[in-house]
Amino acid sequence: MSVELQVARRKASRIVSVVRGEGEPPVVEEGETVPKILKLRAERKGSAVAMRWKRLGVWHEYSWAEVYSIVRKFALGLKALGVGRGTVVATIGDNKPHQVWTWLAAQSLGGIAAPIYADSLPHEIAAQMQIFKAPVMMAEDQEQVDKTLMVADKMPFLRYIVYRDPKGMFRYRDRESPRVVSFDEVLEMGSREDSEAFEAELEKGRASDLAMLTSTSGTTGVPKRAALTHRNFISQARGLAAIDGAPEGSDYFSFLPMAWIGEQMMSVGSIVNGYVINFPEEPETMRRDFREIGPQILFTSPRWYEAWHAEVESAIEDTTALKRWFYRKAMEVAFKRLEKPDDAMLNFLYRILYWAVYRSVLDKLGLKRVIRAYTGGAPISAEHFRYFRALGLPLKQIWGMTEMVGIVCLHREEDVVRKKKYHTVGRPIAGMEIGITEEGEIVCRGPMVMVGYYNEPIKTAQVIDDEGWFHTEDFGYIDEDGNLVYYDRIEDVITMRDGRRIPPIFIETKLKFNPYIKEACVVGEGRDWLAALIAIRYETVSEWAEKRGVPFTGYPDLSQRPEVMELIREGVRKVNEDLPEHMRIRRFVLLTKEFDPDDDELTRTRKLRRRVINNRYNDLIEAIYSGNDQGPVSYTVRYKDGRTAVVNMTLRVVDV
Amino acid sequence: MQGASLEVQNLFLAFGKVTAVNNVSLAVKAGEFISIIGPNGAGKTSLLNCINGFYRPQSGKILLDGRDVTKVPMHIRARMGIARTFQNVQLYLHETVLENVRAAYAAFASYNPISLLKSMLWLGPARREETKVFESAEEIIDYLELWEYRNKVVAHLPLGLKRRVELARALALNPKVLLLDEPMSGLTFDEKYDMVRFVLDLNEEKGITVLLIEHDLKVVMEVTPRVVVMHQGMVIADGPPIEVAAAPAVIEAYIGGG
Repeated sequence: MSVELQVARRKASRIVSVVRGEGEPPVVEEGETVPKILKLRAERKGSAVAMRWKRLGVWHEYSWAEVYSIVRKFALGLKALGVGRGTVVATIGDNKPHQVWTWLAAQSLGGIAAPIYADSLPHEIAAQMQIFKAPVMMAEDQEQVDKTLMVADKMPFLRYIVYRDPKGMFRYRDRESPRVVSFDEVLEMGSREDSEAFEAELEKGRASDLAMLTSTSGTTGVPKRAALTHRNFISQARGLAAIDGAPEGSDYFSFLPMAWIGEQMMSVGSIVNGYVINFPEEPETMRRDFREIGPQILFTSPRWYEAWHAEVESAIEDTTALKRWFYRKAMEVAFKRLEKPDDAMLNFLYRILYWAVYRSVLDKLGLKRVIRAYTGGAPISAEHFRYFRALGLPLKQIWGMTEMVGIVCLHREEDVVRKKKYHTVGRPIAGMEIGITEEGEIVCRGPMVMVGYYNEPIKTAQVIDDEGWFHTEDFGYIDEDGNLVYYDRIEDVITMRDGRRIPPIFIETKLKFNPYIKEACVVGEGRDWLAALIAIRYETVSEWAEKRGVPFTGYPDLSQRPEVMELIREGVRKVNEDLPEHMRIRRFVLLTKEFDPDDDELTRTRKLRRRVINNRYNDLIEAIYSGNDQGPVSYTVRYKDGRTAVVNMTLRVVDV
Repeated sequence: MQGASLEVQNLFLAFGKVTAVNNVSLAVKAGEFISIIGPNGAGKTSLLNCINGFYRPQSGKILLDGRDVTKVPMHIRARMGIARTFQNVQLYLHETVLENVRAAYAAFASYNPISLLKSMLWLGPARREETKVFESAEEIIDYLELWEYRNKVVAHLPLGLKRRVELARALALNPKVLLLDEPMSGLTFDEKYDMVRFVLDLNEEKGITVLLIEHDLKVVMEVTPRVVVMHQGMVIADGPPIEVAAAPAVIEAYIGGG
């Protein structure tokens, strides 16, 4: 296997405190793989629903038996295309069952799935493919195929592209190398193959086989690929279910990027634990489809909670004064109950108000049926966390990493309700150990830790030490109850001129509690005070402006209206009131566009790339600190179709 | 391949003393994609109106797949496979996208006393037909990527989407020949790009014959293999875009004629 090490691992660090997941570690037999679990479910509960996909306006259901039969046929088709043990199959596309089917089909043959972010640009696709050199790629539609073909000359190893959506694909019918074939054609090929070959290959599978190569987040440099085994995934799914499981048949809704570990963990976990995976019709209809399903299991990043909160706040601004008053009063009760969970009177009031207020708010967002809710991937503000808890959503913080199949530790209900451990990310899953080194770095060990970075023995040796501890580069501590508290990534901390260190995310998430602010980047490295680059939330601000008769033509224009600046200034002032003097924002600028992963300002998982932002807006930041009333921005914008344009603008600097 | 050939022979149309179409002859092969350009008032729209039967020409013939349809009324021609869209969008503005597309089917479903009776009694065939209408409408919604607007009222949609809904209605007729009257005027760059993509797909994938009236010469020159230029009711040039652009009569009509 290409991840085996020829290099010496780093020496273990001295570990000052350790916390272990309580309970028995989840049992994973050496003979178990994810597709074998699928087969078992198909045999035992074949007619129960396994997946739902909205197609041509109607929800189609796929039973476990049907999913198994599709996976089996598709696997035999892939076999005919040359996929076998250790072959990497790349996938790129939106949330469609075909993505998961392809993963399972490749894994049935002993192959490895490697999902790529659907919004990757052609050169990014080529760079990712260089890491694992997949001979077969499953691409959603013409757009994805076109992007891949644009860089096909850099990928001589790529022999087949399989597409799902046939629209416009007739143009590629006669193409050679890579050949372009449809999903249905591969199924067809599969049904002509010797079907016993499938069971034989499936049987050979081992829990220690690689199942998935998952992209790391890559806030710096080209993302690596974490090589994850079936054991990693199954341990994760069973470990999470042991603490916080949901009944079989519970609805999960697949809407996060398929290339993100969070989505892979939840959809593979759904197969292991017997949940139903629901897929939207198209990305454009996602919100509506989400609400139609009303998922019971929810895992997403703070971005979504921020957007939901902004949506409610903006709707409340729009409603009648009476309703607004009622909502505010109801929320007061809900927040009080968070402080006193055992107060009988508050609980009684809460139950009445649930039916009158909270339930309909949750229903509007499609969150009414949620029984398990997690947030992770980035820090969430205490304000947002308390808000959703108050509404009755059983939200829990999690902490984890791609290298350990996502969730490693999570809040326990009691710790949140009784001990108010909002600022922690909970305790580890059974089987996992979390340690803190002398330097304060968080390290982890256990059955969920990856084998290594695919084809990167040196980088692997740098992160997994000779005692098996994975070094996360996250810093934190373990509190007296065994809850993990983690700080920002070390590279993210701002050091001010007087040497004081400030975690900017803490301030940024607070700013984003304001429904009119979508993005914020706090700056101040080596300075005496802090400033912020802010991107407004277009949906809410445009509505606000329309209601007040403030004219605007589009995002850039709206962001520079004096009324909008005043609105945001009020918001920043409010946040400042909660902050100690040296952490307050003195000046800010409203950007004329949101941060964009296509401009390298964000990772594909929407984390700020601070270095890029600091470079790009350098002149503007200089202007902020030299006391000017305005500052220049000039940058190259890259459009989806590859065209570029240089934008020059002067932005107003606002004093708080 | 579902396209049909279309032939126009010595077509002449006048309103009183004003000649709109003056002795125009044009042969379009099945599955061909042609653009018709020309200054305002050149007779392009009148020509399309003759082809779909909205105007009755004073003389000349129109053949669809070799069959003379000159005397066939407009709604029958539509059923025979000639569909068109209009310069000024014509839709049920207060209905949803889905209702507009379904209505296009209903308008051309086969109505006779027996089928009416069947549908009143909600018998099997009527139910099956209704199911078919729903499914076919959804297929078009999917093809033209209108999913998220399905249940939106047409009046609130931007122009680019209204045009797309109009195209969807034309497709409900399962057309052999598609007549498009300036489908891109007033659209943004992205909307134009989408529209061109859809029309090209329909032509290349389904083989539908397309006659496109268009003012955006960039689109015409880049996309269509054959361009017909009209001026004062007559065809003054007909051929590949590069040749047509260099023809003296065309330069005269566009620049000399003002």
